[in-house]
Amino acid sequence: MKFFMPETLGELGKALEEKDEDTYLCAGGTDLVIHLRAQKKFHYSLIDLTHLKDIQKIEETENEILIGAGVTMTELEKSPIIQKYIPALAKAASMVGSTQIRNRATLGGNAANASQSSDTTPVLFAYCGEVIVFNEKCEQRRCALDSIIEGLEKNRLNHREMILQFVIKKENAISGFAKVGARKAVTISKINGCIKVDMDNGIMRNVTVYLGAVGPKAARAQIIEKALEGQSLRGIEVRNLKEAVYAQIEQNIPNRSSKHYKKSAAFGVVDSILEDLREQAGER
Amino acid sequence: MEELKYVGKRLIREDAYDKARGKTKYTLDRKLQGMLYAKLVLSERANAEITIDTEEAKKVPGIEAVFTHRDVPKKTYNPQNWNVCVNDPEDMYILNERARYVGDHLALVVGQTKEAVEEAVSLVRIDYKESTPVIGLDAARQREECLAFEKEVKCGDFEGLDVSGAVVAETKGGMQMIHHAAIEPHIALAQIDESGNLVLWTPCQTVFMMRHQICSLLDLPYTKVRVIKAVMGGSFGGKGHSVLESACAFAAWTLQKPVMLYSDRTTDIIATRRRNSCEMTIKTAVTKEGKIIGRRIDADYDGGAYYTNAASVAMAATKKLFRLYRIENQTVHSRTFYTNTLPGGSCRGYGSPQAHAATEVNLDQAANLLGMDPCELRLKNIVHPNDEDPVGSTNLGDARIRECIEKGMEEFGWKEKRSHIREKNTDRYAYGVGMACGAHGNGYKGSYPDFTNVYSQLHPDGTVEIRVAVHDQGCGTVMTMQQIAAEALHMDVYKIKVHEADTFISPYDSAGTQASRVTYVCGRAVQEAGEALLDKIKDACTALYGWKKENIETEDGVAFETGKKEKETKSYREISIEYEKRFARYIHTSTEYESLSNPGTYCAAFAEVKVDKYTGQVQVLELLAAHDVGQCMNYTLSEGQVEGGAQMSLGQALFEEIVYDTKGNVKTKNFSKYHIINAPDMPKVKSVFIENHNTDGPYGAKSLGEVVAVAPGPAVANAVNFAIGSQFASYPITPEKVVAFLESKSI
Repeated sequence: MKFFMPETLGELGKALEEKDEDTYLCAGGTDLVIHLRAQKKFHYSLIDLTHLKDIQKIEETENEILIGAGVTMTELEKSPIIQKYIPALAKAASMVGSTQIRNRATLGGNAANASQSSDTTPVLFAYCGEVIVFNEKCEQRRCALDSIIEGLEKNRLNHREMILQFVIKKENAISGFAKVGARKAVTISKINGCIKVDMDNGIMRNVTVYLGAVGPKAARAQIIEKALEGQSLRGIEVRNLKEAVYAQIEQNIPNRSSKHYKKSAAFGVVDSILEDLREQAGER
Repeated sequence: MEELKYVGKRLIREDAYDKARGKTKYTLDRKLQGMLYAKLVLSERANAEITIDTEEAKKVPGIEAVFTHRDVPKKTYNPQNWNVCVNDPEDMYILNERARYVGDHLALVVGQTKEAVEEAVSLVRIDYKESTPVIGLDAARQREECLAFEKEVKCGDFEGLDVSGAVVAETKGGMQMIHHAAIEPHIALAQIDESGNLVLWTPCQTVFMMRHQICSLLDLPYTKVRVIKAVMGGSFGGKGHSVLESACAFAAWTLQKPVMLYSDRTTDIIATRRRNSCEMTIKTAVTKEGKIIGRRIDADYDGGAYYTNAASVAMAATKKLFRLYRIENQTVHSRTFYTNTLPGGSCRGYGSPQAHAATEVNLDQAANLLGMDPCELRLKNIVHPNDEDPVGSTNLGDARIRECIEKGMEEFGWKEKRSHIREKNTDRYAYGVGMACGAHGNGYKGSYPDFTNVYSQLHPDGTVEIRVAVHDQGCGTVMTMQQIAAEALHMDVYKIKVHEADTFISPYDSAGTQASRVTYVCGRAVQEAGEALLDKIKDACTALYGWKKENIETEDGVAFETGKKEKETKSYREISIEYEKRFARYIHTSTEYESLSNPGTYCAAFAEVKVDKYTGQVQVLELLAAHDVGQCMNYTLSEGQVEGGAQMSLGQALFEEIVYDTKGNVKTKNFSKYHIINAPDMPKVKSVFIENHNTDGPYGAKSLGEVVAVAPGPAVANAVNFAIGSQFASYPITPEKVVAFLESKSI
């Protein structure tokens, strides 16, 4: 059993070099500890990522937002940069787990854990989020987040790779997030979603919709996008929208018995997000 | 009535400071020298013959023993039999030789560290030869051998009743299995003391029951086993039966070493106890004027894999059904079935939540058919004070259900809300209000021996020590006893020490902290003990100072004789010292108290809900609960009970369920899948107390801790049904069910 505590990227590279089948990356530990217990792992090594300053920052360049993989949900929720440029991410982060979990859980962990119910993934997908991936040779590669997420708690990172940073392009869009779980808070999403739109005199343009927990990973909801594109945010025809949402869920999970509930719940999610967008549009 | 100085006051319990700061030492925080850790190995199959191989587990460094059915006494027990007078069938071993449910206790690993124990638990190899399990009541009803208990109780003749001209409401409903969800999972700690006695600390509800069972299983004399009630992190009935105690005692006694048997949340959910789920069909005949003329109830309970409380929970529920409404012709037919699931056990309310769930929805349906307000229908039919029990149980006593309903209606604004609530409806949200009633008891009088003993002493430092076998489950029982004793003794609450149950120091108590008997029975015993001790103090004053006994008054720990020109006062402390010096005696008393009665305790709950028609989620916006308590012991603690009971009842109505798949695997093994109501979903609860000060309990009090978990759930069910026009009578009313109902309605 080994315990690594890298403080620099160089040390991280060395730790990754020594990583074997029974070595785990630990940032917040909120998913890892559950997995270790469930799998009855008693002998393992850890790479503790909490002392790596490089992955704990949220930065802003002229065209991009850079979010370290070790940034916590609480930090995302409270960050003025995130609130300004990616409001749906602040909202999603604020709805993950409990306060205690949000204080520990990280964006990198949430993405890499690749749960179908991840709350941050639909938002990152809607913003065409990219990631910087780091490996044991201290090399960095940049790719779409979507390309490294398989879903159902599997990612496509190589064994000695790790997400270092998320890169989001700055946009003028507004975005909203909503979820439905078993209860209001401290709950895993049965369904969640993110809508990103450009507002053009009250009309929604370039609508991007992603829904989570209706497939192995968050998926684009083009039927809903079409129903919203060019619509006035305040004058949406409810019946058409409902039909589109129901058709979307039917397309996503035609063979799941949960689809009957999820159709209606997804409509609730979309309705809540639109309400969220109306508030944001009102503020601008 | 004389004004009370201590009882009812919002006094702060002494353990509050440490608990709030996380300083309280629970059993898991303790470490004895040389202490070993132990954990159960649980069955992963629901119905199977087993072969256990412990070789690999024993090889883990630090493992001291791996016990199986081959090692434990060949003796069965029933973990609910709390004394020699309770003889329900015994069918459980400390470690079982056959797997009867997923979670069955099959082996016990004991080792020096938790890490070693956890690893060894994973290495115990069990080969299963499986048979088809019986899961759920539908499957159990198909198999004759699954019937564990059956009884019909009736008054009048419902079957011969002419119901032509009456309105008949028929309802099919039920209640799911729930987990108690105490924050502290089950635990026990045992060691051998310097005299060779077996000492067991357990956060339990009945130390004398633990002693009774352990002595019987290990063949030890009562005098050699000391069971001490440990600080408890909640029970809600879950720690009512013995669960880990016998295995822990067995391991410590066998190894002659200290052993801590701990568990985790999953063990707690799948391998301890649960509320007995039940299915009920109800047929109620009501005249056009709203008088209930007859009712028939067929109730089936899922008892789980062992007998435990198969009979007692069904009978407890049955009895309550005769004690809330005046129904001249009523038949209640109940059955309990074995299934290959977690055994049933006590759970806050013990049969009352089952009794008053679907039946209260049924009454709303009757009211609907009559076009009558549900409160009005209930008011026409509720029991009256001092009614006799129609099936021969104890008199209902000072039953104040009428006041609960009337005061509740007024404070809730029932009529106004019921008429106008729907005006708040939107495309997405539907609003509704509903109410329900419930009844519970006050101890065992009428069913089982119900008595207790109290030993009290006044010490020369002015403190009073009360020994009575109470078990504070976290709700403030000790504080309640202090307040009662202070009231009787006219002295400072905080100078009174009430020891919790310990079989070496507490005088015998017949039934433990269960059945809503503690305030009513033990509290009255403490009142009498306090009065007797005060009498001795007065006798001492007469002997010491020549005061006339009838002229002696006491106040705030000081005695004086009235009618004297110069007031001479003596503190209890001085009296104690001087009495011992002068007469070579100590001031103390022994009190024996048998409960005189067992009246009904009543409640009415009122709820406002908001139903999200898109997501199916139900939000409880407001909850008011009115309780017929006789006299509150401490308003802060009483409100705590009402709020906690509501949390449990609302959780049962909307969220909670232990879900089994068809093979008998539990799908809700931890709190990410088993959802209790948390703070964001919990409404503000308004408590209304009806205090009529007229019972045999201490200062006119009645029980409260269990009845609080009865009515909020059905009130919410009725509110949801009012909001969306549904007829939900089965818990939990999940978002999926709400959406399915609304979708079916819209087609």
